[in-house]
Amino acid sequence: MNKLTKYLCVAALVGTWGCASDANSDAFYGNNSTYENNGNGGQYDAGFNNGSYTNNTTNNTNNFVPEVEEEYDFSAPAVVGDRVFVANETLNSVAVIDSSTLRVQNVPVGFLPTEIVGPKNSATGNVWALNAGSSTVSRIDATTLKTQTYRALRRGNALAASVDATWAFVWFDLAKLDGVAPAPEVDLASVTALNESGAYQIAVGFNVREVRLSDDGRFAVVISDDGISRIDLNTLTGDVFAPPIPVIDADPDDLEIVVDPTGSWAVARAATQRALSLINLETGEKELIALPEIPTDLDWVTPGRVLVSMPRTGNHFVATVPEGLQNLADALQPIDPPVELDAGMDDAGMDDAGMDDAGMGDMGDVGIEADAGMDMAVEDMGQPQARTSPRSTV
Amino acid sequence: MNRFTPIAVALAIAGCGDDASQKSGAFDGYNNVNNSTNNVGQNNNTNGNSSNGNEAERFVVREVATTAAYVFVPNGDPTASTVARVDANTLTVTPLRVGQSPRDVAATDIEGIGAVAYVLCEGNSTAAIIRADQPSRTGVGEGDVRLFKVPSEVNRLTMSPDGRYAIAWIDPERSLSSSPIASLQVMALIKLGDTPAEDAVYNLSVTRLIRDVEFTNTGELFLLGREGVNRLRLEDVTSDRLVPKLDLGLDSDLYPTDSFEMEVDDDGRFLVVRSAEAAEVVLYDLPDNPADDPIPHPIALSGLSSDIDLIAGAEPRVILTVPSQRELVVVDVLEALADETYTPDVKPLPVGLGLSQITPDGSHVVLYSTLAGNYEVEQVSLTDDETSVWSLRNRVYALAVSPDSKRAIAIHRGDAFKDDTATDYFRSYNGLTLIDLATGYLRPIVLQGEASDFVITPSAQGMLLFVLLKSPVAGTRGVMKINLDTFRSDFVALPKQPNQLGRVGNKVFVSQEAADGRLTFFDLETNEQRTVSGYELNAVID
Repeated sequence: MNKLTKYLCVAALVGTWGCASDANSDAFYGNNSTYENNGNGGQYDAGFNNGSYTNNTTNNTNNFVPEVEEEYDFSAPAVVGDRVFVANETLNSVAVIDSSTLRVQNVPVGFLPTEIVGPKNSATGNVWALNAGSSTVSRIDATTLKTQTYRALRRGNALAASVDATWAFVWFDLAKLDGVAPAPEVDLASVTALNESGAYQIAVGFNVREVRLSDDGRFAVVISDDGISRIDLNTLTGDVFAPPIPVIDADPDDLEIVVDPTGSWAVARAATQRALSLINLETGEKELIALPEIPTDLDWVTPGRVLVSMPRTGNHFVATVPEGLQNLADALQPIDPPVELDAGMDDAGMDDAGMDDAGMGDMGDVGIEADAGMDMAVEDMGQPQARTSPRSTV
Repeated sequence: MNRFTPIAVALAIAGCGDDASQKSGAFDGYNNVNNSTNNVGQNNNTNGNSSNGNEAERFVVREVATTAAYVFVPNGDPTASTVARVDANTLTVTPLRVGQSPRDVAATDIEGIGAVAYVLCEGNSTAAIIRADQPSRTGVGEGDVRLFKVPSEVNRLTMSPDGRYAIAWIDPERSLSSSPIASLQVMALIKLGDTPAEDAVYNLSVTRLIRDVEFTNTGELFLLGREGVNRLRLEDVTSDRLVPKLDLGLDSDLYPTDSFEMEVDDDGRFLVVRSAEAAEVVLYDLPDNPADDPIPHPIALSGLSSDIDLIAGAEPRVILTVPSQRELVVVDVLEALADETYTPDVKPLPVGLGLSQITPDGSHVVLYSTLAGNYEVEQVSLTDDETSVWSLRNRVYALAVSPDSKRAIAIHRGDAFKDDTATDYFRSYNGLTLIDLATGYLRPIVLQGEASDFVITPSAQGMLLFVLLKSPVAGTRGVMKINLDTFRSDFVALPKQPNQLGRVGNKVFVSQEAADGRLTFFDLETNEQRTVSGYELNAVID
């Protein structure tokens, strides 16, 4: 059973139980969240991306509009072992459902719990519930169901946790208000970090878009309009400020930022610039990599490799980070004149080789190796349209 | 210099000799009791629009009636005649009977005398001198109180830095006397004696429409008003008298008497005058005899200046902004006074901003503008040519620098809502932006109410900023507590409208508008919060 199927089953289960079906639906999907099986083998992406224009493909070069990937938030209950934890806004509690016996327990938390997260792939650990009505967070021991409540960011409405749920983060996500003016007590430039020891306020950039945590749980990366703040959780013992590293000079709404699973590197693109920004999150150093066209998509393929899509010229690269991307600037020269293309993302094999289906892994095999730089042929990536490009072989 | 500005005239809080460890101030413009409608002067724009194109520097040094151990709070009831002495350690409250309708209170500790407070009581035109640690005259309890008659026209009280003198004067920013016959030139000098029997009050005739009051550490008082500048050696006053104005030798067209600005050296060595109409600054070497007129030393500038600040010390410097030329001009005062051919140091600016604050350590100048469309703040090093420019998300209404010179605090006022972007939301609310002057990190914070007072003070948790927030809406009035080391912000709602903020002992207090009196204390060591209320009636502790 894949993840989506599991969540749907849980939704049906709670609906049958019937205490708070409205609340449950919110808890599952969030106010604005939808899910789309986008052909990536069931993978969904909770990354932020708020580009607003449509996906016009490539034939009309005079009216070229760069693509912007649509991504969706997906709010879900927490699944820990055989237990499913569902926030119940109506009862100010978390419903704990034993998936084998269907027994339901009610764990009281704070006022108006709206979000819940737990460990991934673990039968024990913390489950965190964001109590939006009281601006608190409740930590539930998934085994004993004992709770502890912490004061969190005023009016925080978004919650994320590390893989093992040792850490949780609360922030205010303006996008969730869907155009409704926020209350004046919102804090647009800080997040609350929580673990068993306490809750810490971390001042970051303005208008926090998302908090991501590295796979090893060591780093939290806060993405805001001002850039990326990286927080080392191993050393976090109190309130601090984490100045953001600016990523690229562009309207934040036009940005896509991807961060590698180790929290060491970030790559950013703007929907208006023929460039990528490569950011070393450890040093704060930033490098702007010129491209022959506006890149339309970024994805981490495997640790250390990033996919860059430039459908106008039919180039889709998997580049190692940082060396491959750094060499990209030397390898790719501006294309003049623009080539006639008739192939967009679909023709580039993305649908055929969704990321989860290891198609990109194959590409990664022929991608830009750290030692080889750009000594690869784009043809090797299986993109026939690239043959029309004068820069098809580099 | 020790300055008390009635109309929010240019002022560098950070560089004017305040206590280096803490700072307090107020943002002009809130419709509180201290802000009358009869404003005069060039910088009395209280809505921040600066429609006349002039910059409006809005920070004023605010006197808080505290000593090491006490807070003195006047009774808010207009018919009352008591001042509450609150012991900050025990929170016990002692009502002290003074004149009718006590309004302004100033207090300090004086060696050999103890805690002393001056109270201006407008109801019966009296000034009270309180020796708070001495036995009361009735023999019951503490607090020796002496009352003196003062002119009925005076409406503001200001104490000298050493606490030995206070002046009761006419602040044109406040409501003027309703008396049908009133002099606009009277002032009372209140002199504290070593014993109560030696206390005295003298009536002085001075300039009218005073817009700047400055004391020096050498016991002199300078007044700037419509007639010009008065200079007075306080110890020389032994009877009622007229204080003559100084002849500064200025062209009245270039230096209109209702608008030019002065700075006085803390040590009484020199006086500096600038005008928004003259492309120059004029220095004066102050003669020993206060009655002697000083000789002007004009220094030409490349354009009109918009702000002046003074760095005190052994090598005093005057800092002027010339925004039209994108210049910051640094004048070495002693050198300029000694050398007729002196040329000031001119630092080019990336952005031409009109207002400046000198960091308390004297190493940098932080520039900003209150004019519409300006969002930049820039920092200029005085030791080299390094500059930094930061773009804020809202226009600056007022700006201060923390006592440790590490942070700047830019206050914003809410504007009309325009769009649903995060920046527009921020602009639509009252707010502030903390600036880390080392890295340029900007921390915008939305404020629930209108910032009208602040205190910056060290504590066990780090350097703390308390911002008093007024609001007509319950739940949004209170105090924003900000840790300037970590940038953590916490809003503390108060049930009553707060009206004054200050530090006493190891606590910060907030007085609130309540008929029976209400004070909330924040302990800087334990972070505890306690409220004293009802002290006008029977002093209870919540």
